[in-house]
Amino acid sequence: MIAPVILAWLAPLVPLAPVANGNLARWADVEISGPVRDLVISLGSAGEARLAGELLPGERQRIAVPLPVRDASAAVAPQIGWTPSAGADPESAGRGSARFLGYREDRASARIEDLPPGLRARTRPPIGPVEPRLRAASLALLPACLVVGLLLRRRSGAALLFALVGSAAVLFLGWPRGAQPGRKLVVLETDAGSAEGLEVTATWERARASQAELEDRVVESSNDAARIVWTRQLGSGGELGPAGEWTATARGSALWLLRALARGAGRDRALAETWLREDGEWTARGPWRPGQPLPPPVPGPPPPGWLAAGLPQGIPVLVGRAAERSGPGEELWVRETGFRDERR
Amino acid sequence: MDRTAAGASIAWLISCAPVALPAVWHPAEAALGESSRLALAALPWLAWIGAPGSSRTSPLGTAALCVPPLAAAFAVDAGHGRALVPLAIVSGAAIAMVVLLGLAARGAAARGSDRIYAIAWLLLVPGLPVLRASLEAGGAPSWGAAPRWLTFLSGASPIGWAWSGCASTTPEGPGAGTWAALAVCASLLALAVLPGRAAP
Repeated sequence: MIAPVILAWLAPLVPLAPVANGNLARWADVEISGPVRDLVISLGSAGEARLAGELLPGERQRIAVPLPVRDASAAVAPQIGWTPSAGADPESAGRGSARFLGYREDRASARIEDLPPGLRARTRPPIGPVEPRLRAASLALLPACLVVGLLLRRRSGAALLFALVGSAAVLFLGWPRGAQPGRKLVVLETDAGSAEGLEVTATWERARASQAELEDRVVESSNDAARIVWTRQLGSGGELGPAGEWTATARGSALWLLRALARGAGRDRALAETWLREDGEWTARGPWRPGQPLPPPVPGPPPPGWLAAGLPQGIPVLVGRAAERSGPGEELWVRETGFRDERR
Repeated sequence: MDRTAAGASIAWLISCAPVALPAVWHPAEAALGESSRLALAALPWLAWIGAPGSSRTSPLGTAALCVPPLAAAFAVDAGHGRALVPLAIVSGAAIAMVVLLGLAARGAAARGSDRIYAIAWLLLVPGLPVLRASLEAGGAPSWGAAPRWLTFLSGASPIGWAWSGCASTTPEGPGAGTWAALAVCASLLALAVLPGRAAP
């Protein structure tokens, strides 16, 4: 009885989906002719794309870069700059060149726009910084190591032995234990009445994806003032690094990667924990394997507040956490509105 | 407290700052960002211990003082998800450089080759990275990066090596820069212990 009241109070604290229609990974084409080193394609305060590396004299390349366009209706041409080669005259024609060719059609945004408004408006996964700090015990040991080390300093053997023992103790006490939770959250948002769903991947300050993955996704940030910087290595010989990934950084902001999904994308996964909301009440259902009927209610804690908040009232909702993790610190959740247990 | 102990205590304090400050003051974590705490912790020791006259007594005992702060920084970097093998290599190389530079400073003082050693240390340890930073800061943005030969040579300085490690989000293994920095430290030691005038 208390859980719904708490969740209602928590709802305003959960970040809501931003209303801006921009895509922080809007693809643009740029033609560059060497010699060009460390290319920067800037949209000013919104952010930039950086290509580390060098194109040699005479090399020419047409490349696609993601640019942080916050307002789709006012996508402006970026400014392009690069580091001239050592000894090159900045005014000479042999300095190299880079030319902006234009933005590509934003198909990823179009697919997201085609989704039902209810799916698009769902609360985004909240994610915060992972800040591994030295444990207090390890921190307290450091001054002790200094004092004893200074006392033993004139006896080299004893000082070295103590340094080794002290360092082992500092390492043991300060060693990070367990996976860092919440470094990457993936939520599969679905609705029983919709043909498509939405995959939302949340990371804090940094996200990595290949060009093929990014072309399929829309990128949003929790902090509209955060400057987005895309970086990638420009490989030798004028080629973009093979299998290279783009890395986005946004200081002090969560990054959300959105992708439209086919319906049922989350149904083939075994769930380690499930909750069902029926008649306004959440009940824990324990683990659920695909193909099995949904288990009966079991005693357990309520679902995480950020998943239970901001959902439409009067319809059943299923929330579940996938049993398998695709990487350390990564969690996958499913959330389906209008849920019906077809096996029951 | 003698001068060496005072210097070692200051180096120790600065060395502990990258791991201690974020634990007690939240904004420090954001300010340090993705930089390697291990390289930051090694930096003050590499800058101080080889300075002429810095470690005139018990260089090994003084160098041993750097190991616990490096171990603490190792643990924090591991918590940031950095690969352990490159971290171990960077730790080993940093400790080796600290020991070599400490022995070099002590050897120069004992053999009376202080002046030659001081010039070589000034050029190879702080000189090259400072020259590169000055050129790049002063020439920006028109002149771009420093010449490649200077970039390589400043990377061979122990300070330059540690600084590049601070900036790197993916510390590499024993690359050419690490070997070059170790070679610079070994060269300074060799220069310091060359036969010369014995100290009175």
